[in-house]
Amino acid sequence: MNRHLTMRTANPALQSDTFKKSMTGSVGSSESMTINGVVNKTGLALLLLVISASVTWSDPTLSGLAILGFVVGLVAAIVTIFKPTIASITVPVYAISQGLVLGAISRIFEMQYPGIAVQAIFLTFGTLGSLLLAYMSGLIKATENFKLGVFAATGAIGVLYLINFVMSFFGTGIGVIHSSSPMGILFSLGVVVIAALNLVLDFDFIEEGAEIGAPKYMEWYATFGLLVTLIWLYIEILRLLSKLNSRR
Amino acid sequence: MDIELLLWLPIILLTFASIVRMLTKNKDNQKPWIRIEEIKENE
Repeated sequence: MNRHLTMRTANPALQSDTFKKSMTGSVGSSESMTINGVVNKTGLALLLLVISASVTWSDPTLSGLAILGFVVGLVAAIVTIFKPTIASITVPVYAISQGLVLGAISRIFEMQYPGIAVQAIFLTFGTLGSLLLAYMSGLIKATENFKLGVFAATGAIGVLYLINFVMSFFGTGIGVIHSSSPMGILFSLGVVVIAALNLVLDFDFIEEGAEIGAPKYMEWYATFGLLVTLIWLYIEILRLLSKLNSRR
Repeated sequence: MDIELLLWLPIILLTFASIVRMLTKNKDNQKPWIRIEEIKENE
């Protein structure tokens, strides 16, 4: 039996039954998902993201677009998860809208600590490259225990962020998330590591999809999963760098 | 020294370890330079 078939993933977009759902009605389809296809689509989505990010990054008067981008991105993400067959439309929309958000966020961090955004971009792609190499070489394998561990850790972070979000309505929050103390930095470092390990699950998802011959539109869906992880990783790296900078 | 530079350390180490693993992984499958074959009688 294929070692990937019983997979667990922490990414809400890349659930265990995603391929099973997509496979119904696709038998006999001439075109199926390939790793090359995912790579090309991810490149295109990242290009769209960078172009839209440059809009809110370069012109602060357009930062209101970030709020619009956040709402549109959220809707596009939900539609992608529930209707992956139209992912070829919703994923580019998601990439453009998230670009608007990231451009504005990066600008805010950059104004506080000049040079931080470039550092975060290099660290994000450095992490992506090194983990891809580690996955390809077999140094890191997405075993069932590994998947379970990353899934549990990501879930715990999600719950913690949710509690913090609810507490913020009452004018309080979980201190360690925002604190620049050694404990706060350690927490951010841990979140960055977990976000980075989610990339391994994404690679595994893509490899499995190509192996079992998932339908072509799943290339866009896998791109979406990779984008979600990369955006999360970038924001967490920005947060970690800002904590480190604030201690100077 | 910038403490941010330390963040590159795990990335560099992981990349280095992956490259070393890639270079050494398929060594067993390669053809040897010298092969000693058994010669059967009346061959």
